[in-house]
Amino acid sequence: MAKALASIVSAGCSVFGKREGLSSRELFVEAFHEALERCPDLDPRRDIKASFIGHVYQGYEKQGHLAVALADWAGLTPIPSTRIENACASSTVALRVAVASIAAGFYDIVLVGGAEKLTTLSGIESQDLANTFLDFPTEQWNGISFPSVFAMVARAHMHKYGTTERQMAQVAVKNLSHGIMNPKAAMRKELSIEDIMDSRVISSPIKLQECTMLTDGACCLIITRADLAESFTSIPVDIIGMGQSHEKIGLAGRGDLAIPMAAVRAATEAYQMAGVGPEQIEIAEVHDCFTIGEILAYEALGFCEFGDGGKLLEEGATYKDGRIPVNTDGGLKAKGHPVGATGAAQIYEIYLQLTEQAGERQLKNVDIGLAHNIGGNLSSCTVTIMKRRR
Amino acid sequence: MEPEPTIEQFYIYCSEKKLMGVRCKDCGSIQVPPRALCTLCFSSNMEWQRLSGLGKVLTFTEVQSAGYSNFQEIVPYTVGIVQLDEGPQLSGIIKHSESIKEIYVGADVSIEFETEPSAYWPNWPRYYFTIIHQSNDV
Repeated sequence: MAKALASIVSAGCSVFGKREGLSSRELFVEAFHEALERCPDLDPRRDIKASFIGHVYQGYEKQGHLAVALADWAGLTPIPSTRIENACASSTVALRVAVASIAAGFYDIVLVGGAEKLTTLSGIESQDLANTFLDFPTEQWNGISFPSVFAMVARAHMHKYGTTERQMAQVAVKNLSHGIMNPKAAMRKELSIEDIMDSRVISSPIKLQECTMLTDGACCLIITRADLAESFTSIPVDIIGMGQSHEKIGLAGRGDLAIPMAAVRAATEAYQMAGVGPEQIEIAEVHDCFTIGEILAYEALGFCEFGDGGKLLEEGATYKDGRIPVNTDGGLKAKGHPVGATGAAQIYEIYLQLTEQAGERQLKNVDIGLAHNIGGNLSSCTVTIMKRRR
Repeated sequence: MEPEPTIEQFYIYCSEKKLMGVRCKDCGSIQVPPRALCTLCFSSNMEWQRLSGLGKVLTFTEVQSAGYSNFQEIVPYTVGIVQLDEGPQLSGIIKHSESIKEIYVGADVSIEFETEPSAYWPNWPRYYFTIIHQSNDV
């Protein structure tokens, strides 16, 4: 197995949902405070040398320059603080840049995170803004929204492989069954396959309850040079593989619509770097912004063959007690989707699970975990592989 | 001299009821919407090429809840990705009769153009696809 690129020594996450009366910087402080409490040996002013912040939508709270605002509220001025935007993959791309900066010798200890305030607008006003991450001249201009993009991919997958609407609905059922054990999830309610199937159609075949919700939320991670990690924690989580790849900005510019190549390439890069294969992954967080996203992820990550994602789920393999538990925190479906914070929150869950801090949803004996974070219309993907140090 | 291969010019051609892509004179690839630099061989030797606008539906979805204020009034509407006969794939609105059933993966379509420019920025006139009915299913 490959050596650690860097280590996670602490993490914090705000409650996700409609956080009335709280701005993104205040939610970030909520997450940061938790990370500090978990890590009493960290002196933030002495130790943290830079911050890398995933943030996407400035329009909802009319606040740009967010990395500097967050650093200010976290008491970290004047360290170098940088905002990174890569659609819904922003904070895992921020993590990759942070790890590269540590590897390059610029910094020893950095803060990585994300924050988003997305509930100040509702309905169509919110969607107009959210959809700006699709290709303007061919998608936005033709009324193709996020649900439509994933619906077209779902249709292609159904046509090629015979994936069914019930299989897709089951993704939401599974993730909601996990989410009731997550006190920070925005939606803590179980639904049946029928409940999902009977919810109104947004863009066929995608139904309302197959979509995540845009929510407020923030998350942060404390990342150190691997050889320094044990000064801050008895259980470092080492980052051992990272992949990032992309597809053309418009869905139509790609080849086979049923295979998400950005994810396939990111996974290949991460597995090779880590020196592990899919059969060694004991827990995964995958990007279920729409239910088809999770089925695509199983296949791209090699948890099953292409086309067998629906079956893998039906067999129960990806439930909490299955062979490869996926989205033990409830996924985007239950947690909600504070876009710039979503990727960091996936890493947060893997960190909690590998360090035995996941509470009611804690898995037994997990050492190696993976996070798969999608951006845009599947045009971005990062895959991060982590291992608990023994 | 030929106009520059820009997205703006692509839509100007749409107002003239022409679907125009670009062909790379060095590697022969065809791209739509047009680009000034070939993404296969990095040549800037691109020329406009008129496309037939004929193709087959690769995938589609019926939008019942619009994601944009400018589209709220026309729900439900159908969008899809079409594989053009010349090779490139293009997404767009697919207009059809009352029944969504006439759209399926593999259905033959042809391109049409709206006659008026859009009322809002960037005021481009839209292209859209329509289903080509076989003579025996009219």
